[in-house]
Amino acid sequence: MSDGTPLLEATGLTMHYGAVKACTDLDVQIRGGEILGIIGPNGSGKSTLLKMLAGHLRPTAGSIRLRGSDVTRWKTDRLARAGLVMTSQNQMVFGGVSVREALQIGEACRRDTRNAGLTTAQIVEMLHLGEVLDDTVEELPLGYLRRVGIALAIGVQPDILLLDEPAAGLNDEETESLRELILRLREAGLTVGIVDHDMTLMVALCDRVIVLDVGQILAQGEPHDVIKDPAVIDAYLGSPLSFDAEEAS
Amino acid sequence: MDILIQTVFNGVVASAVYFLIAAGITFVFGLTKLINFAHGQFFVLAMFVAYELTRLGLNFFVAAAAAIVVGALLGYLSERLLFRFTSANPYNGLIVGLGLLLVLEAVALKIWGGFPVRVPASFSGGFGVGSSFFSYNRITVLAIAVALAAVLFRLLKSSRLGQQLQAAHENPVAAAHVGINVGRMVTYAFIVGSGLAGLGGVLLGTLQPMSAFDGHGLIIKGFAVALLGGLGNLSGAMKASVLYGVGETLVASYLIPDFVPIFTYGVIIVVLVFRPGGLFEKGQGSEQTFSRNSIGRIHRQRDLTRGERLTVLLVALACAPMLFELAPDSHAQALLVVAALYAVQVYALSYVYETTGILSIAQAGLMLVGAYTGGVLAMHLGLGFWWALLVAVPVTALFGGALGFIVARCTGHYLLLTTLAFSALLYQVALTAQSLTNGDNGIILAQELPSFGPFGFESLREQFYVIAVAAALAVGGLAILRRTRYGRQLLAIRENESLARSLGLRVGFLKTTIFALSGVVSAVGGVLYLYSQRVIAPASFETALSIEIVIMLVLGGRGLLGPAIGAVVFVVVPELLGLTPIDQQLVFGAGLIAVILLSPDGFVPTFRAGYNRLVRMISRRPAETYNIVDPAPQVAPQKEVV
Ligand SMILES: Nc1ncnc2c1ncn2[C@@H]1O[C@H](COP(=O)(O)OP(=O)(O)O)[C@@H](O)[C@H]1O
Ligand SMILES: [Mg+2]
Repeated sequence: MSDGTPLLEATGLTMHYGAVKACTDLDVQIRGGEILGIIGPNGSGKSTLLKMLAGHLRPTAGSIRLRGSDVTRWKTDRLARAGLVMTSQNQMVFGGVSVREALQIGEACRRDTRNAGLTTAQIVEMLHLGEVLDDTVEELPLGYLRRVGIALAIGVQPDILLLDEPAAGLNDEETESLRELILRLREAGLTVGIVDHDMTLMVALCDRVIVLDVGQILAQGEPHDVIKDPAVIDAYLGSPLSFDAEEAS
Repeated sequence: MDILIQTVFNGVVASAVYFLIAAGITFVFGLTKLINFAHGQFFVLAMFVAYELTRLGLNFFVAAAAAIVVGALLGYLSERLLFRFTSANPYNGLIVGLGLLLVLEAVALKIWGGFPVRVPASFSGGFGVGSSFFSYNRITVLAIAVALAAVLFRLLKSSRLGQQLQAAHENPVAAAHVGINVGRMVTYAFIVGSGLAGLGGVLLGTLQPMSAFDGHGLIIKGFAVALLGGLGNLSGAMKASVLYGVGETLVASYLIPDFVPIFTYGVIIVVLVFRPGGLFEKGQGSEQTFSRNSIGRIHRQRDLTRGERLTVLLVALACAPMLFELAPDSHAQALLVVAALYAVQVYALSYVYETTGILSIAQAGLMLVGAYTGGVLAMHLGLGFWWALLVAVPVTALFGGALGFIVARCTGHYLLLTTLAFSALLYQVALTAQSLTNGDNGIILAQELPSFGPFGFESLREQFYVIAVAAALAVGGLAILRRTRYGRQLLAIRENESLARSLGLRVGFLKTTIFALSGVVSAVGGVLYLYSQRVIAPASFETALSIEIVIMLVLGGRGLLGPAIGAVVFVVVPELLGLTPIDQQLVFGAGLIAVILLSPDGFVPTFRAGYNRLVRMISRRPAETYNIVDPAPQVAPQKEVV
């Protein structure tokens, strides 16, 4: 991917809900083709950051540039058409239809000019959705709902995909397929920003991680370095988690 | 100057009454997200009761107190008996309210007829200043409303119940956590809101004559005020009622009284387009368009096999001609022509409802545009059928698009009323623009009737078949639409609007286009209406027809056949039973309520579900069929959601 200017660049990004400072003065860059991880304790502002980047929330201050042009005031749908799509932590998917129909709907939302990318059949296979294709979406267990949500987002073939806790509710095997899927998408040129608590997944996946704490950046860099950072261990990880992560890589 | 003072005074007094109705709407809406269509009819019924009591010689204030009780009682009963069951799905509540409106209006018509009555003034006389006259009655009305508003605000602020109500309004979940019985608060909101309507009814009754028909108009006016003030915002409603009352009186005295309804509907539409959250608050009502998307059950029924589908198609194709050929006389045939004309409109509505889940009460308005475009071309330019079609289609599509645009701006639960206002606005324009439309007298077609190859359009038979073909084309279009990329994008909106947005869909644009498409179908139906009935008048396209089209759709249910069956049932059944129009209204109002409460999917899907169950029962192995000990559930549990 072409380096130099970052694909997505946020400067001074701030979100205050009244007295609650969810995010304060964040500078975040996502370079084309990389997988950026965002970690941090609950309530540290990870979801808020992703939502601002994807246009779901209008920041109280700061600016966002996509491919060099200012997109701070763009709405979600416009950003999606420009190639930036986010899956929310708890956004419901298309409820009253079968998984098959939901994926067809997702396909219909795709920008037709796109070429590279996985076919719906491939996505279904990688996300192990084959056995539930004819089930009603809203009656599925949480793990499936998550994966349908991810399938929909991938289905529209974005350039940048922001994932908010995609592995929550998935078992080890499903998490492993998710990891494979993301890596494969990256090979096809996708840029990914991912928030998750599963450190094994994050260390194995991410090129770079940002650690948030109370809405501010505590540390950033290579995952292996970051998880050894005493400040990070102190604020968030604790030793057992980092041990897990070391083992996996 | 004196006239101005008089006008402003009268306007302020009127606004006192509007505040009472808007406060009731806002009160109920705040807790339930429901706009009770029958609210205006509570107003009317309370007024009639007070009227009767004063005729018995009772004091005005006693009668007024009785009216408050009547209003409160109606609110209490409607909440306990009806709206309680729709709380999970306010959309159903809206339709139930519509049914209740029809029922109560029919009841009022049965008891008091359609004639306007006037409640005697609280105090007669008044005093003059210059050439302005201030009647004691108007002053009393104003004083009562102001005093009541003061008490209401005070109680909400400082009484325990008031605080609980406010807490439930602001955050029902949190309120429930701290031990407030939110369900009971809803009941109280209905009682208080409807009690206010009762009082408003009496007061308005002293200012102007009122009839059983006034419920529609009042709910729209009250809604306009509540919307202007921001729904759920009581102090906003107060400011808005003054603005609206004075504005309306100014329009009536300086322009033409006929313009008042246009003013009302205009206010609604302009507010929704430019300030969806009301005048006094920034920000929007709510994120999600309120569409009826909780339809998983029907949707997830077993798909029909190819053989079954073919059978249904053949039966449907055979039924339409059979129905017509078996009709005993020309009267019955004429009815079937009307049913076919309505079916086209119900399909036009289906284009929006099936795909996006948005129910709009404006189809008669679009039909009016189609028919009147043809009528105006014929009357003023002498142009015939094909010209009518050629021009009506794009014109109506434009109007449909405008409606879609407004609906797309209208993020919230008040979408239904907005579409009703749109329909009423078009009706009013057709009535008022006399030089163009010939006003109340309507247009009588002197045009040559078209011919379609060997078919003419002269006999009822020819008309029926041509219209039936148009309806069939509409069905075919709908069936194809569902499978297209565009149709699936619309489905995305129905199933989850915010997700559709985050996947990159232009939601507003899509809504606009599907309403335009619905307009195309309506236009064709409207022109066919003009050329088969040969007379059109604004009264043929009143808001009542828009409501009836919704009833037909709800009765028949979604799906490709539902609308046609709904239309035939709607037109033919009352005739078979020999019902008077008032009884028809009663039956359909009650039917609408019953369908929503008992089988919210309508006839066809319910029938299909029954058929599926039958198939499953027959095809089950004997061992299971005769297993009496363990009554295995025949229907999969529906609400087992994580
Ligand atoms: N709509 C909201 N209103 C008020 N506070 C909010 C809102 N959304 C999030 N917050 C607060 O902002 C902070 C960050 O939340 P979030 O971004 O969801 O954290 P994370 O995803 O890292 O767990 C939390 O303290 C949360 O309580
Ligand atoms: Mg989060």
